[in-house]
Amino acid sequence: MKLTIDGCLVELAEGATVLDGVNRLAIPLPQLCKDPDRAPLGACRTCLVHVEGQRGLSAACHLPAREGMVVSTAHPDAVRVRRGVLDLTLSMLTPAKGEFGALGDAAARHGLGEPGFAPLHRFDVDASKSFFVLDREACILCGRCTVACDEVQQIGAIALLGRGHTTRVGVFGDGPMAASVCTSCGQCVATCPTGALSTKEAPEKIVRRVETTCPYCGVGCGLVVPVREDGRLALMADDVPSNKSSLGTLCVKGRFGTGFVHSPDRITHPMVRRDGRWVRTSWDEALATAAAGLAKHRGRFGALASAKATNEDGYAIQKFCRVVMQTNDVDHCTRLCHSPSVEAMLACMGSGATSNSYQDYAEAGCLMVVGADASANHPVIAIRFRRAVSRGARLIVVNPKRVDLCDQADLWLQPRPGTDVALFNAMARVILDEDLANLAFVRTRTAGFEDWRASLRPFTLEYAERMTGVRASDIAQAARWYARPPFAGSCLIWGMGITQHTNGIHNAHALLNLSLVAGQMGFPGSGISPLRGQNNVQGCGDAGCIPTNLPGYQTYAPDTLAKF
Amino acid sequence: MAVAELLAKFPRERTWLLPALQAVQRAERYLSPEALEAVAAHLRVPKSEVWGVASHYPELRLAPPGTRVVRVCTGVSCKLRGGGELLAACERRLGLRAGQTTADGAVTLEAMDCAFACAVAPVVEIDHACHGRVTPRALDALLAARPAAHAAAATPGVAPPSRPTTGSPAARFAALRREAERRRTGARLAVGLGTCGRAVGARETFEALRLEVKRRGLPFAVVAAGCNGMCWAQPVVEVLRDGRPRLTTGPVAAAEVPRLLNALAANPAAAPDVGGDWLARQRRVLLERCGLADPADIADAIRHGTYATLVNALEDARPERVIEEVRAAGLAGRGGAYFRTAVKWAACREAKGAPKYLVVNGEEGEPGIFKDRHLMEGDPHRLLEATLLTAYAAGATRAILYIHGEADLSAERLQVAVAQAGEWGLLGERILGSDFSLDVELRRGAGGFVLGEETALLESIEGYRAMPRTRPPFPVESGLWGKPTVINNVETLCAVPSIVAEGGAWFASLGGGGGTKLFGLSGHVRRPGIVEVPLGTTLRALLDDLGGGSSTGRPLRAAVLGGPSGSAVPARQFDEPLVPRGPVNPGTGGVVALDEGVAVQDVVRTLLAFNTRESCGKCTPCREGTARLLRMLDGPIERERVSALAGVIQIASLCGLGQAAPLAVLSALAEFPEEFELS
Repeated sequence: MKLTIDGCLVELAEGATVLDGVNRLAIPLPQLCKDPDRAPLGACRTCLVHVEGQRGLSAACHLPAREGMVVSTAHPDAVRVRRGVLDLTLSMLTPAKGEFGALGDAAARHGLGEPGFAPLHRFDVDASKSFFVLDREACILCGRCTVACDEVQQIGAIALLGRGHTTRVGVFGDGPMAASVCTSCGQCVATCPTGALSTKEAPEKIVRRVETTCPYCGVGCGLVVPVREDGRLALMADDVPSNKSSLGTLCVKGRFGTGFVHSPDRITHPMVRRDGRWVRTSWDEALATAAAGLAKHRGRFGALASAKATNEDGYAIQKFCRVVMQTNDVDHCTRLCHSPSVEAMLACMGSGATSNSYQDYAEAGCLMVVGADASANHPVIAIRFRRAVSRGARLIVVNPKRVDLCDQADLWLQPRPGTDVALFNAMARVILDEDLANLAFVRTRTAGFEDWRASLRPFTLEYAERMTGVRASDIAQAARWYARPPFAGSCLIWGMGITQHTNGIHNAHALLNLSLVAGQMGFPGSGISPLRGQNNVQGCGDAGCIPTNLPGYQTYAPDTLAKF
Repeated sequence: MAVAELLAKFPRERTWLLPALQAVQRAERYLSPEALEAVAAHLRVPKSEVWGVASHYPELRLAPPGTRVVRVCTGVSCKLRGGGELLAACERRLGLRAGQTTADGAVTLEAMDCAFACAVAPVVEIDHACHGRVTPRALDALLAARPAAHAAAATPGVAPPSRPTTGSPAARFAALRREAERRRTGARLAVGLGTCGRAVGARETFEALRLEVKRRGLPFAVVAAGCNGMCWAQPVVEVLRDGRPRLTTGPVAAAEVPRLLNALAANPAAAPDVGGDWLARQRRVLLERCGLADPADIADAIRHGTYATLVNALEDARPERVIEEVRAAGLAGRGGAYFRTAVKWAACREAKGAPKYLVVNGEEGEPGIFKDRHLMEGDPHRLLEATLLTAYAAGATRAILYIHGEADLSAERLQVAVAQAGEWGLLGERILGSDFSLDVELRRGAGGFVLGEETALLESIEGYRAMPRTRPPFPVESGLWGKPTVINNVETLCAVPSIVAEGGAWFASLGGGGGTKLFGLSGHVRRPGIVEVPLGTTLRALLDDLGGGSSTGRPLRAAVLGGPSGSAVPARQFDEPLVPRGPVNPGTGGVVALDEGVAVQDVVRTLLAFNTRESCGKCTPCREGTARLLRMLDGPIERERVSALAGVIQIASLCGLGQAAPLAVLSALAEFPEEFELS
C-alpha cells in the first residue's frame, strides 16, 4: 500500500502503521513511548500527525497506514500540539538531570528551551542496584520499562504505581529496587528513552558494535557488544530481537557480564616458565617450547576440552589428541553434566540432542521441569516458561530444592534425592493404568513396550510415595497433566538434577520412557529437552571430545577404528 | 475467613485480581502488604503488579480505616445543597480533617466526589449506609447512632418452578408464564426502596407498612420496589389495585403510614396523588416498570411482560433481525458518546474469533448522574432480557455485568435477578431449548471515573490497572482477551427489549429519530430525580416542567450538563433541543441546576479537580495537563495560556475522558467570563 508522508510517497506492507512510514522515510518525529520492537502504548502522545480529511490529530504509532493516506508531520497544528505535549513532558523533569536522550532531542527540534512549568514532584535517586540507577526525576512515565519487565521478561519487578499525576515507576511497597525480585536483566535500562534508567558507567563514545552469541549458558542468546573509544567493552550489551533463541531478551549475565574480558587475571601474551617464574615471551619461542614438551609426552597425554569453545576448536583438539598425541584421553565437562542425557537419548531415540525448539515451550499446554533451576541458570528460557503459564499452561516442577519456578508452578513435586526413577516409573504406571497412554504412538514408534510395561509392575503409587516422599495424589496428578495437557502438548525439560548422579543415565531413561508412552513428542508444543549449562557442550560432544565417541557419535570401538 | 481460604475460591488467573482484592478488603477492611503478597502468590501475578493495581483503584485501601467510616459527598449537586457545610460540621465535631482518622482509630472522615444519590442531596455515608437530605442539625444524631442492623431484604416466594424440558421456546415460556400468573398477588403497595429512598427512610416506611397491613389484616402485598424516578418525593408508595388507576403518594414517612392506610380505607381517592402530572409529562419506556415491579421476583417481572420479547426473538431465530430493529430505532450509546449501537453489534457478529463477549457497562461513575442505578435497582430483569437479546444479536455467548463498586444495591438486585433467571432456565446452556446459550457473570468496579471508558474497563476485567487501550483495533474486533466484544451502557441496553417488541421505527419516532433518554435532575430544582423524555427535549422543559423550577426562589442561571466531561450551559441556551452533536449535547444526561447565587467558577473548578484526580495517569496530556490547568485557575487567569493548554489536552489525550476534561472550564470561560479574574 502506498501513502504520502510530508510529500514523499512510501510503500508499506499490510498492517504497518503511519509511524513505520515516517521512520522508513527517516523523518524525525518524536516517539518516546514506542519501543521499536514492541506494540505501541499510545501514552506519550508526541508522535501526533495531521491526516488529510481527518478531524484533529492522530498518534502515528497506533494509526494504521491506509492506501492513499496523505499525512503531514509538519502541519502547523501538529507541530503546535506536539510542542505543547513535549512541554508538559519536559516539565515533569528536573532540568539539571541531563540531556534526557530522545526527549531532549525532540524538545530541541521543537524549539523548546526552558520548560513551561516546574515539576510537580521530587524524588530521590534509587541507586540500590549494582549496574544501574532509577532516577524518577528524569522519568516521563512512558511505561516502556514496565512493559519490558512484566510482558517481555515476565518478571514484574517494576510496575506503574498509583494514579493520575502521582503515578510513578516503582516496586512492591514503594521500596528500593534492590528489595524487589529484579534480576538486573537490564531490559528496562535498554528501552528507557530519557535515561531515567541508566547504567552506572560514565557515558563514553561507542566506536563499534559487535554482534555475537552470549558466552554463558546453553540458551544461545544474541548479543551486541558495544566497543568504546578506549577499546573496552561498554558495561551494558544490547539485545538482538531477531535472534530466535532470545527474541530480544537477555539476562544479567549477557547484559552486564562481558566485563571479564578486561580482567587483569587474563593471560594476553605467550608466556614460559623460567626458573619457576612465568615470563613473557615471543610466539616463536612459546610454540617451540610447547612442541618440544608435547613430543616428549606423546602417548602419555590427556586433554580437557572446553564446552565454551567452538565446534571447530573441539574437533581440532580431539583430532590432535587421537592422531598426533596417539591417545584417546580427551574429555570435557559433559562427563558430569550432559553425557548421561546424550547416552540415554542415543540409546532410546537414536539422537543425542533436544527434540524440540524453545518455541514449543511457549506453545505447550504443560511443562514438566525436572531438576533444573531455569530462573537462575537459564533465565531466558524461564521467560518462555512463565509466558506459557500466563497463557494457561500447567507447570509441574520436580525438584528436591525450592526454586523460583515453584512460585509459578501448579504442582511442585519434591522427591528425595536419588529416587527419580521410582517417581517417573510410577507416573508411567498411572498413565498406563488410567488409559492415558498414546498407544498408537507406542505401537508405531517404539519397541520393547511389553517388557517395559512388565518392569513397571512394582512401581505402584504407594511404593513411589514411600520411596520418594511425594504424595501419591500429586504423582498421579502430575502424570495426568503431563499425558493430557489442557491444550497443545507437553514439554519435558530437565537439568543437572537428573544427570549428575551415578545413575544419571537411568534417570534420563525413565524420563524418556514417560514421553514415549504419553506420545508427547514430535508435534508443536511437545518434546524433550535437557537444558545445558555451557553454551557449547552439545557441540563439543558432537565433535567427539569424549573417550567413548568419535565425531558424530561414532562409537570408539575396533570396528569404527578399522575405517581409518 | 483467613485470606488463604478466601483466595482458594479464585482460579489462579490474573483476571481474578480485582475480585480477589475486593474479597480480601471486605474481610479485612484494607489490603495489608501480607494480604497483597498472598494474592500475588495465589494468582501468580508479580507482587509489584499487584501493588500497581491496588494503588491505582481509589476504593482499594492500603491503610486500615477507622472502625466507622464517615464520608461526606462534596460533589457539585451536594455542594449546592450544603455538602460543604456538612463536611465542615463533621470536621468540627470529630476534630478531623477530611482524609484523617481519629487517633484511637474509631472514625475515619472522608470527602467523596459523588454518592450518586444527587437527588436527595446533601448526602452523608456512614459505614456504607447512605443518608440523604442531611442537615447539620441532623448530623449529631447520625454520628451518634450505632449502625442500624438492616436485615437483608427477604426475597419473596421465588422458588424455581419445575422447568419444562420439551417444546419450542414459546411453549416452554408459556409454562413459565402460567407459573408466574399462579403466583400473582392482589392489590399491592410498592415502596420506593432505591438508593435514594433508602437514604431518606424508605426502609422504615416499608417495615411500618408491612407490620400495619399485617396488623390490620388488609389485602395488600407490600413490595420492596425500586425508585420510580421521583426521588424528590421519596419515600414513595405506589398504590396498585386492580381496576383502579395507579396512585402515587409521597413522601410517606414511617410515622405517616397509619394515616395513609386510613385514607385508603376511608376513601380511595383521598390519598393525594403526587405522580400523575409529573409522570404524564414524560415518555416512559425504559422506566415503565421502575417503582412498580418487584425487582426481587422474576415471576413479577414475567407478569409485567419481561422476557416475552426474548422468547419471540428465539422463536424467530433470526438474530440479524434484532440488529435491524435496533438500527431502525437509531439507538445510539447512552454513555454519552452516542455511537450507533447496531453498528457495534453487526461488527461483532461478523468478527472472527470465539468466544465473543458482551460487557454491560454499569460503571456509572460520573458525578451528577444516577440513571443506570435506577434502572438496575428498579428493573433488573429488563437489563437481563436486554443482555440476552444483545448477546443473541451480536453472537456473544458470555456476558459480564460490570457494576460500579459503590452501586451495592444495583449489584445485589442484579445478583438476585441473575440467580433467578438461571433457576427459571432463562440463562445458561440452550436457553428455553433454543441453540442460544449465555453465561452471565457479575463483576464490580473499584472506583475510578476512567472505568466508564470501555477499553479501561476491559483492562480492569483482565486484572490490570484501568488504563485505556489504543484504538484500533476496536473492541468489536479485539476486545476482552483479544476476542470480539460488544460493550454497551446500561441505559442503551434497557431500550432494546422495547425496540425489538414495538419496532425500531416506533422508538425512533419518540425522539425525532433517537428515541427516549433518561436525565438525572439535581441541584437547585424543586423536584430532583430521574426522568425519561424524547431526545430533543430542552433544558427548559426538564428544569421547569419536570424539575419544578428553581428550589431557592432565585432564577436559574445555568446548568451543568453531562458532569465533569460536560459543560456549563447558560440560561440563554435552555431552549436549545438536547440532541447528540447539536449545540447542546445531552451527554450522559446529568443535569445539575445552578441558581443565580452560584459561582460557576467554583463549580467548574470542582469538576476539573475531579478530572485531575481521576486521570488514570497513562497519557501525558491528561495526566500532566489537567494538573497544570487546575493550578492556572488559582490566580489571575491568562486566557491565552489556558486555552492553549486546554487545546493540547483536548486534541492530544488518548481517550475521550481526557479529551473532554477541560470542556467545563472552557465553557465557563466562554459563557461566564465575568466570574474569572482575567489577567
